[in-house]
Amino acid sequence: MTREDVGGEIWQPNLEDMTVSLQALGRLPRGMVKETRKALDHARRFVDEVVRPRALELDRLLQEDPLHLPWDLVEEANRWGLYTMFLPRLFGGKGYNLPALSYVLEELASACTGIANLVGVHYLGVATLTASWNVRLMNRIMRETVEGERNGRPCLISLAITEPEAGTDVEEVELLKRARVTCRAERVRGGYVVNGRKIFISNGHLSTWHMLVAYEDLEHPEKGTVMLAVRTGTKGFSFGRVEHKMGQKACPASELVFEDCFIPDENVCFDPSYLRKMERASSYLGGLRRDLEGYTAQVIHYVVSTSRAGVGGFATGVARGAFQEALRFALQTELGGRRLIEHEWARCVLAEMYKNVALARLSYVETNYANSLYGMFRILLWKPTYYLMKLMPQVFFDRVLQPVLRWEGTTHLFRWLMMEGQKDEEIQRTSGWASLSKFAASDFGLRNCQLALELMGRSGVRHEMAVEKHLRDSKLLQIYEGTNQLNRLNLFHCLVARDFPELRTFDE
Amino acid sequence: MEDGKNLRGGPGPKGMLKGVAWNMFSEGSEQLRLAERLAKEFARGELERRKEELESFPPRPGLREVLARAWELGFFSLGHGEEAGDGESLAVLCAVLKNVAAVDAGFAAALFTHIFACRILDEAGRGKAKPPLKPREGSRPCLVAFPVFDRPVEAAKGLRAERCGGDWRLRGEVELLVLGALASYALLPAFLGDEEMVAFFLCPVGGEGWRQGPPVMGLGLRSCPAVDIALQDVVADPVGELGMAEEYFGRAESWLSPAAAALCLGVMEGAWEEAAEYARQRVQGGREIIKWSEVRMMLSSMALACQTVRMLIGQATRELGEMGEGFGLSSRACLLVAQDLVREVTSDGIQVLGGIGYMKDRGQEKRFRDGHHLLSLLGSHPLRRLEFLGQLL
Repeated sequence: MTREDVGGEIWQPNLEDMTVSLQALGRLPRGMVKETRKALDHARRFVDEVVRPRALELDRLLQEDPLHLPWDLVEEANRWGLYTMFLPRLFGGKGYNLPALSYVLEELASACTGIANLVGVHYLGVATLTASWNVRLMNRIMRETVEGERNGRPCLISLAITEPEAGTDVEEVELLKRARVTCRAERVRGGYVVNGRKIFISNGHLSTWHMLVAYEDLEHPEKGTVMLAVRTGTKGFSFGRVEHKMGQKACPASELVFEDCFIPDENVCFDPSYLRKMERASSYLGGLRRDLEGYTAQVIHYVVSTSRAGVGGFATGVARGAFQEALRFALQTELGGRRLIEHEWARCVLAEMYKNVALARLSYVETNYANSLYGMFRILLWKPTYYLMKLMPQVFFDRVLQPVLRWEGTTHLFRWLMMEGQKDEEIQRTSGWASLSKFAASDFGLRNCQLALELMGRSGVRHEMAVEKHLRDSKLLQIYEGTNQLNRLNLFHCLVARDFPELRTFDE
Repeated sequence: MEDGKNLRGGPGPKGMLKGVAWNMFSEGSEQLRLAERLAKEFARGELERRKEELESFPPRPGLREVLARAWELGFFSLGHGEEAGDGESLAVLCAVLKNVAAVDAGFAAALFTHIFACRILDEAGRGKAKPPLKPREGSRPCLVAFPVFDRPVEAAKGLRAERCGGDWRLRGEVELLVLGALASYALLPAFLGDEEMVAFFLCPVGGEGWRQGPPVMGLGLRSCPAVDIALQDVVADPVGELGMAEEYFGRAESWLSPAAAALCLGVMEGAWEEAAEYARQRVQGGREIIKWSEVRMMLSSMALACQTVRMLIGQATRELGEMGEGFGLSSRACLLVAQDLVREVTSDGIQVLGGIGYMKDRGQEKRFRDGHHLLSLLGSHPLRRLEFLGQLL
């Protein structure tokens, strides 16, 4: 078959997709640079003083006692202000810009991905709560985290979405239609009653709040997705087993059990009835006219577009950690009469590893530009909002704005701005880039660990050399937040297949 | 292997493989099938049953019982000794290691370590009297510890042998001495005095001047424990000619690399089988995941890797029959490729299972750790790649 026989036209990538960072030039506040450096400095000190001295010891302890929960580290991270660092000042937090979070996660994961998850997964919960744009609940829960920092009782937030029979399925609306979900939220007077189980919930046992995704209609979960805020201690909610994982042991993966668990309306982040109202309002007011499924998909994309950039940060960190250990080893070890670093082949391996770190980092940076211009971060990084948040005294947010944040109307306004204000192609751009970062960086992360192991030979397999731990930790990055296979499909779906309407994704 | 005859004169294993006229060239022969069956039964009966105990760290006493059982079955006598001079016994060793490794690569690595050390003793003792081995008091079996994750020169870096009167005495340190806490003897490479020559020495484990650290926690291969040791004037017997350590190691390596590759293959096949089975059961997106073409592609890559290693082992052992000792290149290539592929296959093995594969409840996470640990078996992988080129040029 010749090229002419094949026919058709050459596909060209979308210019907007190709030039995300260029578009960000001048549109994002300059203050972010200084602020990001400050956040990085803080994270580096935390790594030097807390993470590095404890990471291997904790990992070893957890190999012997998988049920141990690292409360001491959570309390330490709380004392260091890591759980409020990226909460908006509007809700009492320190208000660091959200793209800086990925850099911080990289820094933490370069020493221990498990401990990085103790911090990062909390922001996954925050991102999920935020994606509901329920300002009243955001204000209440985030302020509880801030209060937890003041009183020394950490208040973490987790995301509870994975089910025993539905892992990959619940990450994509297209798959959600066919998912075998079992966690049911039944509408009752004054709230919902939940029955079912969630598994592999990172930080589950350590969190105070759980962003629970459940379904009104188990046959059609895509039409009946409910997000509820469940507080630890709620009647009918209990913890099941802690999984015995290969790596990332510092961050427990928990089972959450719901048995006739009543969640009052005030803890409902969003439900189908609200989304149906939005559907009608959008149609009436000439909005984007998404249907219920479209809004549900948008919420999921909002979450994964930020969480997958976070995984990009973890993965860059693990790739870097492996590189740093390999470099140290090559500088200190002799092979064949000279230092390993003096062998050309070893330098090339190290250069390859450096490249992997740099490309992994670039992938999350570009994703965060997309999130800043078109996604969840946009509202906070719009220059007027950004500087208003920076310059206004905290008392203004804590006192003056409080009544406004509790109004139902404020939530309506935010939802309208954030959901109607995001076009389909913007959802695709942020979600596509996030998937790219997730699978590219995690592949680089695992690869670097393998290269380090190869370079270090028998020394690399020893626990105290840290590389074998990085390797165990890195593998999970290719699995959670959607397997890398799912993310490849999502990238194709978002950034390529949109130009070929006849193509259906997730349905061969 | 004769009943009642043990590794160089010690009390013998029962030798359940007795009378097996192993013939690797007749695939599926009765003899090979017997060895496979025995290995499978042992893996299921002893290793699978004690999985948790064998995976625990530090090692539990149950490991000694399983080692003793393998000794009785004659597994430790394979691949070396007078009967092991041709490809027939190698094929049987490959079959045993593969089937044992499919359940527990660590235990297969323990078998391999002892066999490799004994093979070096064979190489060094050609035409000469071999050093007698007797089990440590109160301990059976009579195992030989060996730093199997290093080339001799690398392992010998911290160890010197000095001549004192009529004795040789060892002084210094050795890292990752495999089976060090369980063996009766240790076969150690050491530099000779101030010279740059390396020789092997055999010494009893745990005697005067012998200090050993706690078990080393490592990535995988938990049932193949290793320790770091420090020696202070430990009396040891030189093995073979002085300065010939690399030569003996190289010959043993040429002979046993297909067996090490078979060990990797066992891990790979175990990973493939669990992944394929899971893919048939697990439903995502409304269908079994085996119907997703991307999953099929991964399974296909895993199966192709297994088939490649299988063919390489076959080729290497065939060349042994045709060319005798000249088969070293194929043999080493076979192991280098197997060590590369076992990483990919075990990683894909977890990937097919997703989050479940990452948990200890399944076998995949263990295979992933074991598979990556095996990369350094017989020494640094890049170094051996360079040595391979050196042999070619």
